[in-house]
Amino acid sequence: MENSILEVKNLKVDFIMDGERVNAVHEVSFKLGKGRTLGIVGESGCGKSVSATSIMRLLPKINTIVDDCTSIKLDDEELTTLSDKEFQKVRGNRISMIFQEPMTSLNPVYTIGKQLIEMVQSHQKISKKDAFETCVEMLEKVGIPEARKRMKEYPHQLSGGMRQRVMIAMALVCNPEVLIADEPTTALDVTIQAQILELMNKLKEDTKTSIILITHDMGVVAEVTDEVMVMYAGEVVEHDDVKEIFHNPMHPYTIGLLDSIPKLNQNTERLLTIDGTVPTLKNMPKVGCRFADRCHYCQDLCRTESPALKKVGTREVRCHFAGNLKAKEDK
Amino acid sequence: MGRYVIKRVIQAIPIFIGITFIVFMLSNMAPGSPIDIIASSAGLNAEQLQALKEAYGLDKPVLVRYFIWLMGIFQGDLGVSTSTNVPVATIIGQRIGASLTLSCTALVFSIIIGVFLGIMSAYKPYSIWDKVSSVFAFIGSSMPSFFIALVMIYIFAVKLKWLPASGMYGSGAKDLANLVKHLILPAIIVSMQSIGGYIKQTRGAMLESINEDYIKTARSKGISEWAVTIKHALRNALIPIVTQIGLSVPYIVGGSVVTEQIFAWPGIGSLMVNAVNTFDYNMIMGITVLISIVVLIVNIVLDVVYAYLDPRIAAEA
Amino acid sequence: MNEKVKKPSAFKEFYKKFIKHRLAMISLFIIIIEILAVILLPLVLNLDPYTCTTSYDAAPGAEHLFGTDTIGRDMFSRVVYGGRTSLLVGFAACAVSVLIGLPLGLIAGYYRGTAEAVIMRTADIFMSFPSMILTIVAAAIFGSSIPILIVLIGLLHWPQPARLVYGKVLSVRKMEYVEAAKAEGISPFKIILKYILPNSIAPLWMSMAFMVSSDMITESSLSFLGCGVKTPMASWGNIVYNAQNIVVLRAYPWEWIPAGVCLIITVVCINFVGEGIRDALDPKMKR
Repeated sequence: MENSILEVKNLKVDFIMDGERVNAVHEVSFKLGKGRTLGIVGESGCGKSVSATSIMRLLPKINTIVDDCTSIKLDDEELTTLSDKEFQKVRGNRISMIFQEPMTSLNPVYTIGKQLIEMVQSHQKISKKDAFETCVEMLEKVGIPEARKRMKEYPHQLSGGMRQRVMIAMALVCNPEVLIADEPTTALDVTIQAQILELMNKLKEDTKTSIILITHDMGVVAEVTDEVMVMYAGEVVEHDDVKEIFHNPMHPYTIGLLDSIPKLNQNTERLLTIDGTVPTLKNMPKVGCRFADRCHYCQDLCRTESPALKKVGTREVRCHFAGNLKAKEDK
Repeated sequence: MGRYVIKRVIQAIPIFIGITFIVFMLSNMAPGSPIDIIASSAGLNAEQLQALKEAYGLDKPVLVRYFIWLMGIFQGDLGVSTSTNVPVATIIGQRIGASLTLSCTALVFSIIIGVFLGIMSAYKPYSIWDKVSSVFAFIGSSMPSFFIALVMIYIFAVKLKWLPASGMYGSGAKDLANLVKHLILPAIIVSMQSIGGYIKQTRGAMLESINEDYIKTARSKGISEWAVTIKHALRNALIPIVTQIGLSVPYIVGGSVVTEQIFAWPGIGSLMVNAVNTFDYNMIMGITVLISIVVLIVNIVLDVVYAYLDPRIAAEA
Repeated sequence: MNEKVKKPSAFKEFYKKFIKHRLAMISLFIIIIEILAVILLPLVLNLDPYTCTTSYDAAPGAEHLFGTDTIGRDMFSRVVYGGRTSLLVGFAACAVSVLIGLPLGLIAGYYRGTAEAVIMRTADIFMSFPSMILTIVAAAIFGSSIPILIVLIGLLHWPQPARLVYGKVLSVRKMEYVEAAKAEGISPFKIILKYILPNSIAPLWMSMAFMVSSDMITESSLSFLGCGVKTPMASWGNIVYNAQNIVVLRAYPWEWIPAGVCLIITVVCINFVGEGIRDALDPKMKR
């Protein structure tokens, strides 16, 4: 693998809920290669957003504990030991983030220009005029027509797709090494979704920024990512190149996710779904596989022993029976 | 923006007419008008009474009289004070400065303290700031200001002799230092009731805007937490805070009536109490009209401030 | 059908939460004691708030528990009778404003259109004008006997209940059970009474205590200015009026402090009960 830009090791995040300490993310480790796109996939509540936001240190401090053994390295520089003040120089500048809700993610009382310029000026010593020009250029890059005019407009004057383009422009205007996109297309219309994904693909080529794309949509993953990390209940369950995963999913959960993509060429009567829901943070099984309750292949061993993350070639998979699944008789 | 202001001014006109009409009608219903007093004391017969009414224009229908009175207001003629025989406008002119001094000081004071405490308690929930603020807010809404005023006079003027108990300058020099000394106690009393409202409103608005998505965006930009709080959260919270200013102005004006009376502050409020006790209806009407004009102007100004603070409002209009 | 929204269990749940609010329970207890005291004490003890004795400005003692005032009236009796007035005006005026504001809020919210515009705009005007001034003017014109004061204060404070109810009705009227009732052809009057009212009244319950305490403060401020309850009638406000005389303020604290302290305790307790009610009805509001 080419040298990595972001290396996360043993990311462990706990929340304090009603005075009780519950685990939200457990031993998540991954490397993000330079210029690559990593998709983190899973249902809502699987810890994918928490992992990403904790890398950005955007979780509320009051009820969040990030474990000490966690290590996050950006270009070989340890981030977890930085003070909040030092980390501010990283946030937005070297790692930036875009969010799910373009309609509410921009401050309604400031112009687009003001919000973009704020981003540039908080990380670069640059005159307002130069910052303005930089931002106009960036807006043009993300495909916003009449960028100069748009700079003076307020968010409510723009459509959802346009706002998400502005968010992308804002995230990229400081040329970050890593962009974290948290469900960037979920709130948008399908046609707009395609445009935004296409834009992200194009920008990746141009800027060489590495991307972490968080999504629940396997279709989106197939379209833009190089590798996939599937998460379930706060744990990584499978991680490999996108082609490998689609070609040969090994974890029962990944298989379930792939089966639930609607396919045009197949004549299935109804979509396959995964029964049940993700266990809530408070009801997380203490022993055994966290996916056991919903698994079609569940055996006795799965109930008594937590599976470790196994290496099978380039594949990482967390299942006792990976590559050797037997369907249960009666399910 | 210009059109927006004009629209607001036009909307204020019916309200002004409504208030003045109610006041005029109320005064008309009042017993013990000067005519009645003259009539009963001089024992006038019906004819003489009629002549007297004609002389004062009281024989005309009430709507016509209201109209005449309203026209007079626009020319600055508020009638003559029946208790002192001096034009109402003249007396109000002498007194309004004192009232504006007190009300504006109290307003500014309560906004500064209230908004500051509100921000601090939202910025650091459950901290000492938060506790102090909630005590403040509770006191403001639970304390009868007149009693607190007397207690403060008792402590600071009678016992400790730190501050004067009454008047605007007292017998001292008419300079700023003397004014400030006289202003402290009444200004605290008038602002006390409003501070709680500002704290609650600011805290609530801040906590709400801090949970908005755009705050997460602002944080992700790598600007300082203080800049996030002030530039992004507070800037949005200003909109409900301005609403609170609109709500607190009537309380400050009403509260100064009581406070001016206690501290013998030579303003409109104590003038009002005097007028009521001497059945000086021209004066009562004059003051009420004046207050309604002030209230309407304040509301128009606030509407303009709204439009300035929230670009979406001006766009709708 | 959804019509039984005020199920007995809802009240039970409220009760269970409310009794856990210790401050509110203590306050409620104090208020009940106070109400009993102002009703029962004059019946049990021989209290006379009106007769002028010859002991002027007497300090508190065995004969006069709270001393006497400048014209020799027994201060304890006056404070008890003043409590009668202040509590009565506070609760009754609140009832008046609810009686006026509640139906207006229901009508404005349910019918929308012209009714809404007229009612809510009028409420805005009332809210933006200092009600203290209007009350003083009205009390000067219509007199200031206790019944008139109750009506005046209640009348001038109607916009608050109206707004609270109106705000809730706007969301309730869109509920499916209201739509269903309309489709069944039930008369608007019945819909408002049976479906809208029970589901829109919660915000009013939450603020009622605060309205009572603010009405009490209004009454006492008016009486303090000499524009409300007038002597020889007693009210906590007009007892404190004594202290506008600098000699009384300075030398005879028993002539004004007990009444003021009673007023503060009452208002504070009512507000605590109000917070208890609010927290029990809406846990989200808790701070």
